[in-house]
Amino acid sequence: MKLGLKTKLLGTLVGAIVISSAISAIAARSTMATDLNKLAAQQVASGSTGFAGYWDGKRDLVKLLVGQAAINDAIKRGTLAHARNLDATLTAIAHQGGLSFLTVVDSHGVVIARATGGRPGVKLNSPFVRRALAGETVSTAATIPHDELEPELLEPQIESTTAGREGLVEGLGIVSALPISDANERTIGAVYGGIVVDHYYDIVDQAAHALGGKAAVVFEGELISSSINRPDGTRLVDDGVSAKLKDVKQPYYGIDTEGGVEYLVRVEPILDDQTHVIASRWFGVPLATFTSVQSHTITSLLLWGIAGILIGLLIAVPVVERIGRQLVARSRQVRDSAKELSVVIVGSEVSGDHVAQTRAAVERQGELLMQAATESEAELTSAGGVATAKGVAEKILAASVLNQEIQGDIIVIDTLATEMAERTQQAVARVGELNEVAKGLDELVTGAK
Amino acid sequence: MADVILFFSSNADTMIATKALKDGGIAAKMIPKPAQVNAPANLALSVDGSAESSAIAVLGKANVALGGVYK
Repeated sequence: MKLGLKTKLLGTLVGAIVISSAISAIAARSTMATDLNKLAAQQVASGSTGFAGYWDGKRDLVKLLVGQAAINDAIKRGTLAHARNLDATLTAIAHQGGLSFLTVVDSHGVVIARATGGRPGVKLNSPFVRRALAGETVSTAATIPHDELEPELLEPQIESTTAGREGLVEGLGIVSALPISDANERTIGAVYGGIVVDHYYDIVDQAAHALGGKAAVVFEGELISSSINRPDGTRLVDDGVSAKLKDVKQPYYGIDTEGGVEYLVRVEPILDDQTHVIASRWFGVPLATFTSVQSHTITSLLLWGIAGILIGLLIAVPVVERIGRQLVARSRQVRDSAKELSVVIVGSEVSGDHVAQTRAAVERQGELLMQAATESEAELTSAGGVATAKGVAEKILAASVLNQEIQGDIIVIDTLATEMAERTQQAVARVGELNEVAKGLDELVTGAK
Repeated sequence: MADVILFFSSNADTMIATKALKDGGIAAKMIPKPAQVNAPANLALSVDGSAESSAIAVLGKANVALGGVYK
């Protein structure tokens, strides 16, 4: 397929802009992919660290509140007296500090009072209480067994809210246990309290709002607390986490899909104070946050590329049109000149041929006249001076016909000579025009006069 | 067969036609335009009548505009 100069010039311009835009888009995509990956890794890592900070802050708060209860005079007196009316005091402290439970036991681990109003008088078999009664201050994340949740009336908190889905039998807690000492620093009991994390959203919501992502706590393979939303807008809890994150023992960084949304996540194991992994903290940022930046930038580049093409065409089309018109005009001049010159060349050849034909005719006429003259002399000599003149007359007649032809040829030669003289003058002018055309083309190409 | 006269719109065309017929192998003689022929050119071509159609075909192929034929 042959393309015109205009098409080639405009095509080259459009092609250059398209290639430039495409290379820019590829370069931007590649650069952004690298930079955004780094940024995403930083954001998710810092979000995860922030989430851990909120978690630790809550643990410290629990420890503080339980510690304050352990040194509370009313609680000390009540513990010594095994006073059942400590319930109200414990409830007030727990309510004020946002604790799920706060329980006081005597030196044998028998429950004296509970903030939740649960049954007293039974022995509390928590290892943390035993350690507290041994004088240790305990503050840790912990699995709270069913036989601890039930008497604290906390069982409903771990029950699944998802219809048709059986919940867990254990809960995840942030707990603290401290000894209660009398004035002589003898351990007279212990106070044990904490937060049940199941369906407790303070930590994940605070982290999500402050850190700009989504946070969740995974316990026994289930999301027991999260700020992730389901597609219908409800909170994603009491649902299994994706298979690869069910049993995280080491920090995980990668892509995870929860609630139908892809997230770039960092998942860190939650350790108890014995460094056993008991749960995990999930922090993620929707992958679309980063991919949409990429897509938006690529789309912008392509749109600007199209705008560039349109602007380029707007500028280039008149220029190309002008160049095209100039070239067409020059081409017309060249074609006209070539036609004129070709007429001169053809005319020269034709004139030459005609002159040659005329010369041949003149020679033939000369021969005929010579033959006529020779024959008449011979006949006069042989016939005793009487000329029959038949052959001579024929020769003269033929010479006469030739003469007419030669006269026509001479007229033609004269006409051709006149025509060629004019054409030669025009040819000289056309050669001058061709020089002008060449000069004009040079100017067009170089731009210099 | 008697000759036919081919005439053109200019002497230049007549010259070009002469060259085209020569290249096409057809004998043509340039003559002064007969008085009976009404054409702007002063020259015309005389071609043998039997070669008329061949001459017209050659001229058409050479893209030479024929003004007319006088018989």
